Amino acid sequence: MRIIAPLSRRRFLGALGWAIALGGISSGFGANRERPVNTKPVPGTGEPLAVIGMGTWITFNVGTDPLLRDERTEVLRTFFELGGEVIDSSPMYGSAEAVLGYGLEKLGYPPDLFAATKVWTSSGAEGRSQVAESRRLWGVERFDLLQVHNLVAWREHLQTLFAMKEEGRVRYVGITTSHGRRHKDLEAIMRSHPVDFVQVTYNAVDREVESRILPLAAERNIAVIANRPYRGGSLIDKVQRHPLPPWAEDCGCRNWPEFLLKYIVSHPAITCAIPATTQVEHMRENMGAATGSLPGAAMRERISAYVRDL
Amino acid sequence: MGEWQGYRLEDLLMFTPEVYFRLFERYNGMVWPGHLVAFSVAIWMFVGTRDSGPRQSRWIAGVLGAVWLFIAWAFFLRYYAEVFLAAPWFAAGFALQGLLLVVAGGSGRLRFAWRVDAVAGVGITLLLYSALGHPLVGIFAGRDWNGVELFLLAPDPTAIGTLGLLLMSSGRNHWVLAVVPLLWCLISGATSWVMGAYSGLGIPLAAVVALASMACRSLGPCR
Repeated sequence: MRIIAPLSRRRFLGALGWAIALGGISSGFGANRERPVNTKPVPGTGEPLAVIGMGTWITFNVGTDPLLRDERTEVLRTFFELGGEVIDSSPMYGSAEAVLGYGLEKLGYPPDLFAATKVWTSSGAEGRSQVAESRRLWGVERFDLLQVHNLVAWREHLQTLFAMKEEGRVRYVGITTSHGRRHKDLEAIMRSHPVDFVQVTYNAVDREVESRILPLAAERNIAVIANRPYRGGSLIDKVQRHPLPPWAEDCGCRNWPEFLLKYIVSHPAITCAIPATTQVEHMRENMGAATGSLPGAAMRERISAYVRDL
Repeated sequence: MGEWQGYRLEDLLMFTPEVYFRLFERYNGMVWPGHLVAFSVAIWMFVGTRDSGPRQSRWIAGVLGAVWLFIAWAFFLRYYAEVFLAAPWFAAGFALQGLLLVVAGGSGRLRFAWRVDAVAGVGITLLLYSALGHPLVGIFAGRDWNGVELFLLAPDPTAIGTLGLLLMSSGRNHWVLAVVPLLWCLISGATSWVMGAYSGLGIPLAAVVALASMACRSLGPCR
C-alpha cells in the first residue's frame, strides 16, 4: 500500500517547479504537457486543482480482465502525464476502484493524485467499513475527498465523514447528486452543513444548477465538481456529427471535447469537470480543455445556444 | 436496496459492451474444451427428445438442471459478478431454475417428444435457434468467435433452449419452469437494448414467441 502524506502532492509540485526552473529536470508525470494546465482553487483552502479531472463510472469497471486493466492503466498514465489530478470513483461503480488501484500501483502512485471516492450504502453504520474497503482497493492510506453518493443516507454518512475529517482521515467532505436529482435537498444540505465539495450534473445542455446551486456554492465557499459533462457520452456523440463552429478558436477550443468542457470549467463556481473515457486519445482531447484560454460570459452563452440547437 | 432508488434503466448499465463481450471470451477460455461436451450433449438432447421415454426424459431434465446450476456458478458468480452488482441475484435465479428442473425431471413430470402440433414445432425451432441461430447472430453482428455464446454454456441460448424444450414436453404447460427463463430473456434483452447491441433482441423475441405459444396451448386453440 502506498501512503500519501498530507499535501505531499503540493509540496512535490512546488519542489518540482523549482527544480525545473533551476535545472531543467523532467518528471515521469507532467513531462509531456504541451501547455500549462489551468487550475482553480478549492474555495475553502485555496489548494489549486487542475480544472479537468477524471470520472470512472462504467469506463473503469472492467473486472479482472488483464487486457482491459492494462488499457485503462494507459488512460491513467496519459491523464497524469497531461497534468490531471482529481480522480473520482464510488463503490457503486463495480470493479472501478479495484481497477484504479491496479493502475495506480503500476504507475507508482503519481504524486499529483487527488483521490476522491464516495460512500454508497443505505446503512449509516456501514460507512466507515465501506471507506476502509475503498482505501484497500485504491491502495491509498487516506482519501483527499469523501462524498456521500447521491444523498444516500446522507445524515448518517455526513456525520461519519465530518468525524473522519476531524480525525485527519480525510481532507475534504462532499456530497453528490447527478441527472438533476434532488436539488432542493442538496441546497438544504449546502446551507446547513459545512461541506467542502458538492458534485452535480452540469454541461452546456443541463444548466439547471446555474440558477441556485452554483451561486450558493460560490456564496458558501464550496468547491463544485461537474459530472456527466458529456451526458454519459450521448452529448459528445451528437455534436461530433457536426462541424465545429469556426468561432470555436476564439474561445481556445480546438475540438468538440474542448468546446464542451471549457464551457463547464469556465463557470466561475465550477472547480473541475470529470469526463470519463476508455481511450487514450480521448483522454488527450479531454485534458486539452485544461489548457489555453477559457470563454467569457458572452461566449459561454453562445456555446450553450449552439450546442442546444444542433 | 435503498441505494438504487431513483435510477433509470440506462443508469443501471455499469459496463461498456466491450467489457460485456470480453466476459464471454474469458469465460469460453475457462470452460474450453467444455464446448465440445456441450455441443455433443446438445445433439443428444435434440435427438433424444424425438420420443424420449420416462428414463431418458429424467436424464435430459437432470442434465439441463445441472447446466443451469453450472452457469449460476461459473458465469454469474465467477465472471459477471466482477462488473455487475446484480449478478449474484441472477446466479440465485439460475440456481433455482436448475433445482426446479432436477426436481421436475426426477419426479417424472417432464416427458419430451417431437409431437406434430404447432407448439411443439415452435419448441423445436427455439431449440435449434438457441444451438445454431443465436451464436451465429452474434458472429454476424461482429462478435469475435472467441466470445461465441453456446447453448448449455452461456445464459441466453440456454434460457431460449430451455423454453424450447418446455414447449416440447408432454402436451401441457410447465409455467413454474418457464418463469426464470422468461425473466432472464427480458433482462438480457433490456441489457442488449441499453448497450445498443441490437443483435441481442432475438432473446426477448424468443421469449415472446414462447409465451404466446404457451398461452395458445392453455387457452385451447393450440391443443
